[in-house]
Amino acid sequence: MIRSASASGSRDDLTLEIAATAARLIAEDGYDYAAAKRKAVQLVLGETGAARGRLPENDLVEAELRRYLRTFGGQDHVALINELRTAALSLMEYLGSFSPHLVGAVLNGTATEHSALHLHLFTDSAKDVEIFLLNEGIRFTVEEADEPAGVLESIRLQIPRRLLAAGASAPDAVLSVLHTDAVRITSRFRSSDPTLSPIERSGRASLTAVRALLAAPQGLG
Amino acid sequence: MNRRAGLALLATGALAAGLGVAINWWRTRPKQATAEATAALFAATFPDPDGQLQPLARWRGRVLVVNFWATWCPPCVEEMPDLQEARNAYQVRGVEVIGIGIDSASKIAAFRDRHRITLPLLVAGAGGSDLSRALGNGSGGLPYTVLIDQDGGLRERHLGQVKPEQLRRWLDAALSRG
Repeated sequence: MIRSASASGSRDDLTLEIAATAARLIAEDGYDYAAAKRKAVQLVLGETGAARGRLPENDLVEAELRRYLRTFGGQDHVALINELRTAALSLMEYLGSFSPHLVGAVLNGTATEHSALHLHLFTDSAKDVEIFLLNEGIRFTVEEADEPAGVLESIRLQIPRRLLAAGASAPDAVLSVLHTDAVRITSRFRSSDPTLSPIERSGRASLTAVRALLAAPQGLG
Repeated sequence: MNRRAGLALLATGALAAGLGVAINWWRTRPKQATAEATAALFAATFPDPDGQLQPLARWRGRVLVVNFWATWCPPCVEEMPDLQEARNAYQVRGVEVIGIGIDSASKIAAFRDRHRITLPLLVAGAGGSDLSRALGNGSGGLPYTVLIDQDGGLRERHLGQVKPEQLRRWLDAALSRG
């Protein structure tokens, strides 16, 4: 995975190296994509070159991250993904009345031990989700600012232990609440990686789809 | 194009289609129950989770169900109790059920103790994948289950979680063969 970028290296070689470095920062240190890309530019080009460096697209970083995890993660990483998906399924069954869908790194298989589960919930009133959680005695925080279009609000919580298998770690979950109609809009986060199953590639998976994903034969890729 | 040439073309097309069907049948046909396919299996030796070496040849001559699995594979974990149950029911008739784990000894031992599994579990690590491929598992996916008859022939195989009814059907057919 080590790529040398010579002084005469093309811009694309450099972009690829920045993407690979960003992938390592995400996998090992839990950086988010944006921070990882900025840091990677610094590491690859140095402080002075950083201003000139081109940031790689998220797709490229994701592809490099997938490659990194397959190379160094092995069956431990497959086990982690399955554990996170099992936790996601429990949480989705629990939140079943809000049409929960799994999105993000847990769905596409690039989650690490630093990752939170990310669900999309679809409801007419964002407050319904908060009221449900309050009634259930679950502590959560609401992040309303700086949301991508269509998201009414984001709720962060730690998955209650009672929903998880004994001994499983309790990951954080981020619930993005969207309006009911938004479920008809195709996910922006589709992946084109041919090594993924259609469900993993879809960008957004319903309860049935996550169940099917967990029941399907497993491989080391 | 005259009529005769048209007919000839049609015949060629039909022949090609027929050939295609035949090739496809040949490629996807179930493996013949030859002892050849299982030779690699019976030549293998793996440790159990306690480190005791278990040559697979010790199960030769019995109706044997071999399950390739891992603790990190949810459908594998799901079906293990069904395999244990099949073993409990058919052991008196000379059947053995074994699990070959693409996994570490410590994880397999912990799983065995937690779920009170008594069927023989072997620790193959990543090498188990090659063995499952040798037994007809093209994709190398898990779980993968095969049934080997008394003559060492590969008789049944299934990729993905196996249903208890299906296991019973396999075993009844293999045992009634005489």
